[in-house]
Amino acid sequence: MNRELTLNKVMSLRRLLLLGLFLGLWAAGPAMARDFETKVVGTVTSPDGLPLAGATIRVANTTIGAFADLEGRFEITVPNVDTDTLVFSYVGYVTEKVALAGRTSLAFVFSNYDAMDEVVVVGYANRRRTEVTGSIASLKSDNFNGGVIASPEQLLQAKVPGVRITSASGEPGAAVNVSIRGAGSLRSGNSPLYVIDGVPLSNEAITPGSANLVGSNAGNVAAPKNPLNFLNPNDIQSIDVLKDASATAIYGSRGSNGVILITTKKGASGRAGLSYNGYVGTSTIARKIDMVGIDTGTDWQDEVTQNGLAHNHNLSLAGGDGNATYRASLSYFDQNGIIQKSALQRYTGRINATLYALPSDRLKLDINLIASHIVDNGIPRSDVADTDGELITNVLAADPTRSVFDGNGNYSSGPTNPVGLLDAWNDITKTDRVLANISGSLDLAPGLKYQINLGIDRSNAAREQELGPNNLEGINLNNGSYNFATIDASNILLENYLTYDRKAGKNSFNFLVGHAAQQFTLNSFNIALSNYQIPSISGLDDPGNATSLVGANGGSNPDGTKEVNKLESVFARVNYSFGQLILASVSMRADGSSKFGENNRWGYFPAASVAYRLSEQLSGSTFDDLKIRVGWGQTGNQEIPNKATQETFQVTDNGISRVREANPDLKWEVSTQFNVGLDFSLADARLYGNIDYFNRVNTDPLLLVDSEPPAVSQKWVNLPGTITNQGVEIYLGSQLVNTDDFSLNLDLNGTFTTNVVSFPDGREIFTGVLSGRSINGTLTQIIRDGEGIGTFYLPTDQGDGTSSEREIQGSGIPNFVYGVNVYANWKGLDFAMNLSGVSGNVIYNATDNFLNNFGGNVSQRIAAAASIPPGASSFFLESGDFLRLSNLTLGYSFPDESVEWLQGARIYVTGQNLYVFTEYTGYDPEVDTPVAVGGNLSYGVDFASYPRARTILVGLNLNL
Amino acid sequence: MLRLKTFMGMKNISMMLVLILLLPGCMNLTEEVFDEVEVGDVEALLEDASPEFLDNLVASVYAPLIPNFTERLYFNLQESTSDISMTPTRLWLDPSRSDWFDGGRYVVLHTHTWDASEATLNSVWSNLQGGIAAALEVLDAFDTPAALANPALGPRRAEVQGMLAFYMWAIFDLYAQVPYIDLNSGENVVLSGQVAIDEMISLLDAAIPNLRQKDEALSGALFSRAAAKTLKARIHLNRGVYLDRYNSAFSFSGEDMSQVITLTTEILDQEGYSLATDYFRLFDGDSDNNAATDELIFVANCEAGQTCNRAFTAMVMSQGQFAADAGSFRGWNGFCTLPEFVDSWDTSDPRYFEENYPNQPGTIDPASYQLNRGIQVGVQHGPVPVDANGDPTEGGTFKRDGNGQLVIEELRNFLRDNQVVDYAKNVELTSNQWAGARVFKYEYDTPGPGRWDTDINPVIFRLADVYLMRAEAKLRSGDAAGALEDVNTLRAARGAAALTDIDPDKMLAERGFEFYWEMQRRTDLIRFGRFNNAWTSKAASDPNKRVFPIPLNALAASSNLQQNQGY
Repeated sequence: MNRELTLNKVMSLRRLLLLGLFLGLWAAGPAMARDFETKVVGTVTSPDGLPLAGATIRVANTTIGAFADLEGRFEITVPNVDTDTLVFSYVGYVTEKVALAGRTSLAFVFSNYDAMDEVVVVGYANRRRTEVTGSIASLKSDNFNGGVIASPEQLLQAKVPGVRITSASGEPGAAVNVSIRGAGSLRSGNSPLYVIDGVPLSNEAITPGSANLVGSNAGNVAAPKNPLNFLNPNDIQSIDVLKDASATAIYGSRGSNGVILITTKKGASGRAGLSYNGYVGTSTIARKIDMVGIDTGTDWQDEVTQNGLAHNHNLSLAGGDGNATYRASLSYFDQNGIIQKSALQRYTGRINATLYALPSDRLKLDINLIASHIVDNGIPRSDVADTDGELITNVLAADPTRSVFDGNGNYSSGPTNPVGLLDAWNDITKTDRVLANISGSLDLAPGLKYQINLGIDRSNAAREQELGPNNLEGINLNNGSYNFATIDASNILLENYLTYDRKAGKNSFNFLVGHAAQQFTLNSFNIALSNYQIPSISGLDDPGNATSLVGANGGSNPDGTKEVNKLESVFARVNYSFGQLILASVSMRADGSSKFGENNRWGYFPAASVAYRLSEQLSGSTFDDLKIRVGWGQTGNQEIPNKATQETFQVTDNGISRVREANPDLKWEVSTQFNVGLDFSLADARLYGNIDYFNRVNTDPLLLVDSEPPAVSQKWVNLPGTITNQGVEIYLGSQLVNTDDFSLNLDLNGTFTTNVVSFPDGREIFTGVLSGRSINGTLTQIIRDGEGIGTFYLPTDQGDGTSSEREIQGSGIPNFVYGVNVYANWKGLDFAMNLSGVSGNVIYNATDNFLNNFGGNVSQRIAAAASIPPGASSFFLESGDFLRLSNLTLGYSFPDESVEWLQGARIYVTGQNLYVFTEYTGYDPEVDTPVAVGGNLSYGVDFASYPRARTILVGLNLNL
Repeated sequence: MLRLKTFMGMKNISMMLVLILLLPGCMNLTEEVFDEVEVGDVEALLEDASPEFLDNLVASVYAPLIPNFTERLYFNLQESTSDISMTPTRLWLDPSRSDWFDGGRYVVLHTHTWDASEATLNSVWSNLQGGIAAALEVLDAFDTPAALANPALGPRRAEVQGMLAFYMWAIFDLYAQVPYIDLNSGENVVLSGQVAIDEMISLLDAAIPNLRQKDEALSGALFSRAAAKTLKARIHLNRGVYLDRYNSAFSFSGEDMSQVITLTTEILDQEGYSLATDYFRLFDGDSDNNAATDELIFVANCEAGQTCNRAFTAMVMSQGQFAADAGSFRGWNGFCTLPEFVDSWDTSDPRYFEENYPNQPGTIDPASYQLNRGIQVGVQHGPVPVDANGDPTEGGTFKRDGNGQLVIEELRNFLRDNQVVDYAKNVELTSNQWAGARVFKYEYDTPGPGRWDTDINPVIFRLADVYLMRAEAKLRSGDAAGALEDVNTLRAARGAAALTDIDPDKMLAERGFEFYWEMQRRTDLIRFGRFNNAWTSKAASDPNKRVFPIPLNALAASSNLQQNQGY
């Protein structure tokens, strides 16, 4: 009795089950002859070196079997060590066979994930793919995009249906827009929630935006850099994308735009392994704009671009023993942009450890620490500028008959000399960011586990910008100006939750209940100085050299902010399965946020989903798996600015004035999503995939509107109206060939989406503002009842120099986004190719529109036009369809035996953005300059964008 | 296994669930505000507030003047809709390129074909109603026992009342409806017609006894007693229009006219202003302005560094013409005036043109270079900025001769098609780069290195208007001789020949000569019944266009505003 109790207390249900199975297998063993039996020991790990506890090891054609322990170690007694073959299997991996050939020790590493039954991270838990009832896409590190990649989102590009990833520009480290299942909000706040090793991040910009140093009414206002640049892609093990509401509702008020869960690599027990991954590459401008006269004269695009060298070095050490595993890594990434002076350097250090303590490893502690230092070098470009101080527009408009330097070696005169502008400009942002978390789990009783997660995310960014003393024309500022801005942000998380697994016959339950508290703090500071005493001393080296405490544009006294917001949540989920036949999940999260109005402090976000595995009833069919999923859920979008519900006053140069009106009723946007999906796998996963239909209806959209007049301020409201995104996502994977020497896999993904807005009050919102002479302030897009977000509303070019009244013209958002991926292996050679494309959208070439009226050089397209109507018109709309050969990698892995001390070595060459099939005449059809009006987003406008690079690199992986 | 069941049954799980769901509330979710002031704190700040603090509070009431009265906003509604200003779409020699189309804004303004979605209408509305709101906000804050006990409050409270009436008048004149908050009930209301007029007059009457007299150091930046009286006179002068906006003829009551005469006479006799002797100095930057402050009653006060565009002169001048040496102080080649206005002038009137250097080839002392002022027609000569090779270039230094004198030569628009800068009197809505006579009324001043630095204070009220309002009121009361005397007093101060007789046509013409480009023309044209007439590139228009439509945003935000007739 006593003994049983102890057993009950110390053994988790899972371990018990494993033990039971093992005992069963062992009991069956004696039937075999044991005369020649030999003990074989070894380890089982994942391709990334993670120990695979519970992996099954079986002797082929026998009933002899064993399981790997928590550290992935196994011990098995085989009848004939010379002739026997071991069969390794584990959930989520393709079963493999290894002939022992006399070996008594073996370090086995699974080489292929089983796409149909991988482990999927679902939020507060992991599940097997076959158990999942929501729409979740996963990507393991093996299938990440290769190449010079600054941020994790790009690893996913064109790999996952329903996820559209667009870089705002080709600048190193530029902001990346990720939209999952369409645009659900009118305003910013269409970004998914990012959760790194269980710590949800804030989506607020953590680097200061650009200051206006030039002294015009626009100038140098560009979007901040991507906040996820601090993560080293090489440290990422897997990325899971929760798409439908039944999956995201567990993240409540932050789930409506989808959730991206990033899991970093962990160590494995066994011999410490050291690995080095590195590459060196070079980038050139992929496509230039075909400007008039550049064949014979000065091509100013050549004068400011360069071959950008990029190199990246990663060193990681991983290992462990029975009580602890660890992984530590260091990386250095240095990318020079294709425009001179633009660059991104990143240093990261990362360490994580997993510790087991208490008898029977009842306590497990995970410690993760990521520290990074990023140095961004920017160029003077602007999303909304006239040419004053803007590089790209000045480069394009510059007269090709003019040379860069005059006879005396000075910058040639004329409208702002672009090379001189770049020379006078300095823009350096340094960001330090530390993300640390400790999570622990304690087995309280069989099946019952308590978990805690304590996380902190801290960043500090300082941006220094300078337009040094110069004699450039058009800038009209000869005495230097300097701006210093900082953002200091932190995010503290505490989560406590309990899980309980219970099985009764074919019924199994899994319960989750928890509480979370999170606090975000953001401080900013900004100071502008001008009038250098000594022109040769840079403001970055000695700000005291600038003698005036105002910027070139005047009126900029030192400025600062401090904002805090808090989020408290409780959540619960029940998963139920009946055998493997019926799977169901019900969840609820309640979020209380300080951002919500006091009359709506708490929001409740329910979800339910059910799946039916037809394949369980189709024994003997060609289907390995066939599952129908149906899910429904409600999620929220709480991307309301801090203080939006509060009536406050502000002290400015213009006195004290009301900032905004109170709205104690203000609340999150609600997204209600219905999803039906089909997962299938045929003929031993020769063909597999999934199809999902979704209908996502966002209600109560947030908008900043005029208050009842007379009012100084505006107010935040939840508008009556809906934004509906509907679509179909298809993912199709196939193993066309799969032999020992040769494998060929092809996968295709595509997403069809439509978007429509309903405004019962007949409201019309205009956005997508243009900059430039004759078009300044022109709004190109309309958001109104019956049309989609991103709809262009412009006069139609009549072909005779005139244009019509404004009309609906098409959308800046593609209705079809697709990707094609090919993977092949032949002996030691590996090959991967990624094609990505979109269709159905148009791009407004605002750069051409600008140049047409500016008075400098123009593109060939403009020069060739017989007539162009004045102002903005459909003349400047071009097809946005493209197909890009995004990535091509060819690698060779040296045979393991070739060098004794080497466990593996691979060399590879990768080409990125090798070719784009497009009719678009701007730099690149994948573009979206942020030209929102009043925060209401536009889509598909291209203005003064940073050109995109074509990159070739060679890389080396070494595992010691 | 039996033990397991009892240890953790379903009951226990549900208990735990309930427990955890009870956890909320352990965090205080009330939002803390750190970098802004909450409502209660504003009132606390007003007790024992220093005069400087109160001035800072009052400054928020003046803020909506900028950029509304300093940029192309109020100007567009009052001048670009009139017979004095036009902004044509300027084609290049290659007609597929053009300037100044700006989404068709100037076309609809000139041809009176705007609708409620026009962006300028929304911007002006938004600024003016913001002024009303700011003033009401400060009055409300002042309306506490603690604040009212503050001795520094009195004149400032009156200032805010006066500014409130000013914004109300401006929005009423344009849109015929005034969004307002009833000070007693706190409710949002919309005032129109007689009710709006009564409220404005009662605010001004309350303010006048407490307002400060003119403050020379501030050059008309402060809303003074004279400003309040000028505004009140202007309301009475236009009251006949405001009560019956769409009629083919207005009736101006004797009572209103005598109010105008009384108020204007009080200003002329008691407030200490006098007419400037050098007309164009009224439109110079602050540095030259002090000599003229005796005439300036109220201005939109721009300080260097503020974003006050040099809209009124930079916008008219060709890109080939430069205001100062080295620094891209060029023109934008936009606005011009209409041929009928040019033709209406006696060109010997000093208000027509001021020569600061001879408009002919030659040389001048660099220190003496200033743009010529007034209305410019024909070929322009001036200094040309050049690079080291002597080629014209924006931002270069002016070409000099061997003696360091500026070379004055025929100007070309080298930033466009390099055509001679030859302002043609004639203009149409779609024109070339040189069409239209140009109005250089305000100085193109360059107080700082930045292209946008300016000290120009656009004029809102000045003494000349007081004379001409009294003259008009006399004329409308049948006292043509009295009217003629006031008009000629003004003309004499300007150095123009005396008129021998006066009638409404001549009265309106005189207002044009005196106040062109000063944002009064639309109101004047309506009052004289000419606003809907045809003129260059404009057909006769619908009387409904005398009132602008309520912008769509405002209609959506308000439960009280009604769209004006005809929109």
